[in-house]
Amino acid sequence: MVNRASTPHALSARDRLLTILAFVAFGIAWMVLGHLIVRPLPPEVQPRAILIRQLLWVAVTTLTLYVALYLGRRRERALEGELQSALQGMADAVVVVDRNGQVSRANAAALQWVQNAELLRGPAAALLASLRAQGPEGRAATWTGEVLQTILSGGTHPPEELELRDRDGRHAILQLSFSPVRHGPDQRPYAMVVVGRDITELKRLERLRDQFLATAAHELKTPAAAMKGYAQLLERWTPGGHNPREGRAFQVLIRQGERLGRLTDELLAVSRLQLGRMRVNPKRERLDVLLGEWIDSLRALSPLHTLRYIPPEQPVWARADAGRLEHVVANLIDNAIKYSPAGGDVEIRLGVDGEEVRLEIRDWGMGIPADRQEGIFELYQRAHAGLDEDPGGLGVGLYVSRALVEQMRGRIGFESEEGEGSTFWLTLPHAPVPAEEVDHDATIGAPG
Amino acid sequence: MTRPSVLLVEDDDDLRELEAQVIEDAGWRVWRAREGGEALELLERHGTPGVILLDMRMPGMDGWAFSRALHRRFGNTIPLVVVSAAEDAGRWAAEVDADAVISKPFDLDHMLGTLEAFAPLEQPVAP
Repeated sequence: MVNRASTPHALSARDRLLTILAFVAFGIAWMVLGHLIVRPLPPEVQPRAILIRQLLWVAVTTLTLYVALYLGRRRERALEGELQSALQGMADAVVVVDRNGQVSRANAAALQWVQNAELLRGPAAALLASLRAQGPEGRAATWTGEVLQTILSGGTHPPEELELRDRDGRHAILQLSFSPVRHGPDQRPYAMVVVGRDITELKRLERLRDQFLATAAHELKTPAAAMKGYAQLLERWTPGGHNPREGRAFQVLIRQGERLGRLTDELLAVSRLQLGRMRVNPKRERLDVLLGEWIDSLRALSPLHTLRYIPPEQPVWARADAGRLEHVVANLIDNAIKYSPAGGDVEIRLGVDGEEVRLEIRDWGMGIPADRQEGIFELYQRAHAGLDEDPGGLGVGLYVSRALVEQMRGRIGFESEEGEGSTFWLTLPHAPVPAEEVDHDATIGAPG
Repeated sequence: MTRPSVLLVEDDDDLRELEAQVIEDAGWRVWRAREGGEALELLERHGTPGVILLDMRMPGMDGWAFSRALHRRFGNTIPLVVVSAAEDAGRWAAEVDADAVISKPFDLDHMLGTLEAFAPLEQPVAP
């Protein structure tokens, strides 16, 4: 341990005041008592008695001061020792950098990351340069210059990750976080503490999890694709089947294959959302056209329902992630169909409402009982669970939809009346484009 | 008259056969490959197809490695369509500079429409 930064006082303000008061009280008592003792003595002895009294006063006060200082110091040392051993015992590496960019403290865990302990006593820049040299090009921290200045001026700096090899040559990922060391009445930052946490294992698990999700998607969706595809092929070879029953069976196979694919998407989306791994990249998209295409591809969902799209009169542009929004729209339309089992219309409207684009999906089905409307966007929450007319489901669709819409900076909600049907709506940021750009919209996607 | 051909790269046997059947029924010739290495061999042997349908996650040479080799050898001359079940299919397609993406489970008509856009059948042959 180099340099000792100032430690907090061992005695509290109250303790100090009490000590001073006790000392004053003792002084007064001494004077009064001394006076009472000296006065009855014969006059020729009095000067000597006064001298002795004064010498005694000096001796007693010196001794008292010494004892007080000794006890205070001992308490201070105990406190310092306690802090030191806590710091040294920490699993995270801790390095304190003073306002001149010099390392002023470092704990034992920090030693694990440096080849040479001397680096923990010199300029922070040299320490960082050495850490960088130990590994591949990481997203390198610059915690001597700008980060130090930011922290000292009261700002914050996000944690950074550094890839390196530790003292034993093990490849590791260190997460560095930066915070101020404050002191004094105004709590001004006077140094910076850098905490280095070994997140190698965490990163490994994250990678494993991502790989698993990607593999799960592939493994689950491939059979769904094969099932649906072969059903479509049968239908193609014998349109309508050899008889109406066979034709219906083909349709069911196709529909259910499609559904299986979407359920898989849904479950994977839940995992991704919960792990914070859902990527949403909103771009300016022409919604009126996209929505028309999506609705057309959803018409096959139910022979009993008519999807009625009421497009806006003008092109509607919004900031949205087309793939994610398609997922949400398919979800809401699927719900509208599922909760109006007798069939009928599902009406889809799109329009602009000030700064927002608003999309509404309306059905005239069973609606949601008032006492079951709360929390329907929560995970696994199913408004109709346990009711006679419950059409089943996983209870994840609305949860995923809300999360996706919110990540696109939109809102989602509904109005519903039991027996009358429901209207689910969502909004997205309106993103009008200059007229000359309207027809120029390149997105990657399959034509046809 | 030569029919345009489609190089189909897919590791799942059932899916590959399904896609091949549908594409052949519609009139294209199909070259089947289980992974990128086989696909490259076919390209060496038969020349350039009208379009390539590429699965991304495959044992052996995956879609990324295949498209790198493809672009090194042929540049961007052969239309490349990514067929994937992955959530990131769109991003992957962009990574390998694909011309289009089809998500699984796909619709057969959609797949044929995509093929028609890149390798049109001049004279459709009845199945």
